[in-house]
Amino acid sequence: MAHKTLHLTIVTQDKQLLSTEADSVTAVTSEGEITVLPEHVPLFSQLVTGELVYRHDGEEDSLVVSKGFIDVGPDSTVIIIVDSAVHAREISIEKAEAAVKAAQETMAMSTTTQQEMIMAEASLRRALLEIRVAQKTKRATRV
Amino acid sequence: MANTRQLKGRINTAANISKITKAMEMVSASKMRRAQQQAMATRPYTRAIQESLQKVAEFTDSLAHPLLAHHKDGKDILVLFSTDRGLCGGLNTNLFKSTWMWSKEHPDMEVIVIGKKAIAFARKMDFPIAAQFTDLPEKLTAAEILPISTVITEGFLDHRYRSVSLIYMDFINTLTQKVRTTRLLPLSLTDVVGEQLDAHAQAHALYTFEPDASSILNELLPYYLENTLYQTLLEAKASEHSARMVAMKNASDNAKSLVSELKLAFNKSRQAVITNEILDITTATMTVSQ
Repeated sequence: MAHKTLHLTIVTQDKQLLSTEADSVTAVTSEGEITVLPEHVPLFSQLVTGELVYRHDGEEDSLVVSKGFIDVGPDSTVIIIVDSAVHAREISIEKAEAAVKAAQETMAMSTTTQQEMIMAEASLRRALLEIRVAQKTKRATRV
Repeated sequence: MANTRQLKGRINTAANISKITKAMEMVSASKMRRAQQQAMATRPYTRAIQESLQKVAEFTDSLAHPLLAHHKDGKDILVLFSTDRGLCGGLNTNLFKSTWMWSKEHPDMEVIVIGKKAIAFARKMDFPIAAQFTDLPEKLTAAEILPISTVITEGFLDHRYRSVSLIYMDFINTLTQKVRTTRLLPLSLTDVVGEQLDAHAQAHALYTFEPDASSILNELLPYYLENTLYQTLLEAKASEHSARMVAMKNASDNAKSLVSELKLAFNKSRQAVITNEILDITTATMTVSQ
């Protein structure tokens, strides 16, 4: 092989979202942002809600992923295990904005239980991130 | 004549029943397809979580986490995944039979029931119910699992439960579902790791963990637990709809063959009446003309 690639698999709780070749993968772990290149040392780390970017043949694709794990195998396989993931191009800004509003309302109510509070906070963080990523990619395509 | 009218009534009844069962078959078929797809779609995630747990388990002290620890206090818990509605063939019967067998082996037990049918069963058998969950929505999401997993984990960590097992109908295909009993808590990593351990051990010898293996394990275990429950629930749901569809298909087929049998009898008796009338008329004419 002329140049090695990573085999990237993204599984979410609902389905196997993606299985593809990639030249590099950038993700946000609990220790900070990392970029995985082919023949990376085997690594297992925790992911936090954030943007995941993978590049292949000079093209860049990004997803918004929630909490989960990244598993870099010894044979250049990367498995991303997350609760949910959305492609940047599939994000609807209106939907995300509605989610932000709903989450803020839930958090404003004083009667909510702790668990509801945590869930609302998580969905708020995700929705805000979705909006940011969507705006960023829109700008990129326009330029 | 009375006989013919009776037959006619029975034909109508059987035909109506077959209409209803046919409709139920159609509904179950569409629900079944969705439930099966959902159960299949989540299998990669379950597998990925299991594989990750295997890798992490090799680098940690397998008894360090409270969810992995064995303790002797409390009761044995059985989580019974049944259905809310009936008319699904022998599904619940088989499930309850195995549950009863299990209860013989574990005298100090309590059940957590899912589905109305299981509540009725537990009441009848005088099983103490630790918690019950009914009316789960048709379109399941992982959030549905949270209350169940919370009850289980807290009970186990508080030493109220000694062990937690699941009993459910495992979905194999549309025609086959099997009762399966699995031990959920205390998690035994040897079960998860299984025989693959030896083959993989060397390949994973150089793994790096960030931040470190034991905190990854702490994060991963609740995921594993929730996912196992979620996957089980999906499998149970797929089994339920498959069993119901097959049961309803059998019912409509039976109703149809009953209708055709009754029709034959009806036609025969009608013909007998006609023949008798003709006989009467011919006899009468013959007497008059003589």
